[in-house]
Amino acid sequence: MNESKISVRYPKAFFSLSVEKNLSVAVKKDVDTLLHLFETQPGFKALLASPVLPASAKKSFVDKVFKEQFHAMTIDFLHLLLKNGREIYLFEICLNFNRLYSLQTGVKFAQLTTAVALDKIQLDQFSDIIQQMFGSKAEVNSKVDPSILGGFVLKVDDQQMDASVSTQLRRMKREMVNVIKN
Amino acid sequence: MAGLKPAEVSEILKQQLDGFKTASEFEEVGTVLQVGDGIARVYGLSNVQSNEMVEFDCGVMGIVLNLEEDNVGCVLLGPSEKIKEGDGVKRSNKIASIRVGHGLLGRVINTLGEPVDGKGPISGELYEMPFERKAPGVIYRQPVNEPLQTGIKAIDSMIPIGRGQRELIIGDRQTGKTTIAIDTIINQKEFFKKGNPVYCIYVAIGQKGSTVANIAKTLQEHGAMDYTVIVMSTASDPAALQFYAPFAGAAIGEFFRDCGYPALIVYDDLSKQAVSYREVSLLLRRPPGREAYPGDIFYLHSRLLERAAKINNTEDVAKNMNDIPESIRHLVKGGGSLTALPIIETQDGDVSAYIPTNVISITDGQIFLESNLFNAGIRPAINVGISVSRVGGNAQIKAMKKVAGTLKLAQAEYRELEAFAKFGSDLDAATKAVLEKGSKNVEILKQGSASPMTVEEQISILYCGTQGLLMEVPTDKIRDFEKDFLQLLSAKYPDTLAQLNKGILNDEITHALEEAAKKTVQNFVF
Repeated sequence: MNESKISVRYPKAFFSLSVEKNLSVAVKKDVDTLLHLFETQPGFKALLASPVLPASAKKSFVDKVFKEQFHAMTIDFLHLLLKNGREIYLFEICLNFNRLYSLQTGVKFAQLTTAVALDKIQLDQFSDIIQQMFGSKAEVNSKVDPSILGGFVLKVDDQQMDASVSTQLRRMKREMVNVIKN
Repeated sequence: MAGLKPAEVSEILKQQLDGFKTASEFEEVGTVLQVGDGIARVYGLSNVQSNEMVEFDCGVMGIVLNLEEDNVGCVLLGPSEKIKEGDGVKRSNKIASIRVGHGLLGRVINTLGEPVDGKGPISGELYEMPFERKAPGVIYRQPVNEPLQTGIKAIDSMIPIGRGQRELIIGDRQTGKTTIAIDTIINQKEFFKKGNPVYCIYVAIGQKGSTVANIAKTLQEHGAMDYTVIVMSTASDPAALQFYAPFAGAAIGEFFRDCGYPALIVYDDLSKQAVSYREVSLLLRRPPGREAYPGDIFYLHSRLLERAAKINNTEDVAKNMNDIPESIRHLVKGGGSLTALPIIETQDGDVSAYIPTNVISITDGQIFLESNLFNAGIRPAINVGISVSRVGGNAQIKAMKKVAGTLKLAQAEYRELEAFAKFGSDLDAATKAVLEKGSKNVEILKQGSASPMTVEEQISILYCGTQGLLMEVPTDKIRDFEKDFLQLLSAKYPDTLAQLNKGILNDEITHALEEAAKKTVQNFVF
């Protein structure tokens, strides 16, 4: 079976309903929280994918953890996924939801990784640059990762500019190894 | 690193920094959703093309095979252990390809073109050739008209192969399929020495490393590696490398073909390739069909074998051939050819299984090997009755055609009568004669491995057989007779052999052959 149909159709329905009801901003926030959870808590995906846990257990988990902070519509959506047994695809669904949201609003989501924290002015400069290059507004989400040593990694949708020191060092190493090998 | 001086390092640094790109550019990336069993599903990469190479964060390369609505399926060309969910994947903007050049000759490489024989990097200029390329169109081809001499009497006489033909070698395990292919490669040495080499490519798919090492050694011992490339993917390589190996071989063969040389490629064997393609397809969740092979297994083999061709020898036409890679456009010449010898292994002689019937229908004929013939000591164990060459007849040299024209039918008739003769002893004289001649011809057609024979020698000995000059020689002495006869010919009748080589067969020559045969026969009559 073509799995990508599931991870495309669910977010499409979810998104268009949220737009109809004028709730897309609130729902988007919930989706971002979920994506953040997937990134930081590897156990979350495993829990959703676990065939041992019955849907009822997963449902009560969703209610306990998310009911307070999420919009009722997101909770309903999660319940629907659980009812249809499609909770494994939640991660892909969230990714596709964001893609639809960015298409609708025309705002690109950029992920900026730097070795040290940037101040507000620098971040604004980045979003100006993105606007110039891609011709649309951008919401810059910044992240600090000391392991890249210096420079920055900017990712806008599928496009990535890797101007980090660590990558350049790695590239240099590879070229030197190639020269020595030959 | 022992011999490296500090100055050298800084020189290298300087050289590298000189051409080093410091400005970063936007690249297209994706994220790994799922990885395992040699495949990965990647989110993003929305503009990636089918068959494009992608690079994972850890340096492993992959090839995109499935483009789906919101993700792409890739096969990995390396170990999957280092790849994690959430890793980045970069587009390379390069369709899967291999770097080919004359430097590959004499080398053993893997599917990606990396040397695996420990002889250092590939030397000489290399050109990028894509794995998947459309076969030449009709106007760029020409009918098969030149023989590809295998050096094996039974094949060159009864199942002749022409340059640009696709001849299947099919049979159970342990029937000598690989031996026929290797002997054919060894026989091309004659042409290499004369300065019109037939470049050979041996593609080993899913074989044991030791087997490939043995083959490389055999070729080396017979001086055949000078014009041969071995492409190997062992049984322990990822399935993707195994099913792309024939395509890598075909790309190398096309390089020689399009540069105007004759080339020969052996795919050993396509049944294993089909199995690895099935593995990848099932893991990519493509729907299974008969014997769980995917629906496009026929197309996989037909598009591969269609690339074997004889190219038109008109320069202007050849230069306009379709889909020539930019890298070799300036080298293209007409008149080249790529002959393919695919090998298929059957189970218990079952040629009506899925893959064998597919490949039989694609190729221009088949050489069928049987284990009971092999065990009876008839080697090569070719079953003449069901082996055919659909186009090779036009490529046979005239003298051979004249001498061996009736041999195939006669041998088939002999096989039929032989079965009847077992029941009774009352046989008429005509039947006895057929049986007698047939059994002697069977002896003549026997040939040891790695002992190819020139075409003139083949014609001479076959002439004796078909003309019934051996009636007085006992069957078990035929092989000794052959040895003595050929020795006598090369010592006393070199002119006759030279003329036979040119394809001439006139009364003078037949006379000389008969004279030599009579002389030799005397030594065997008691």
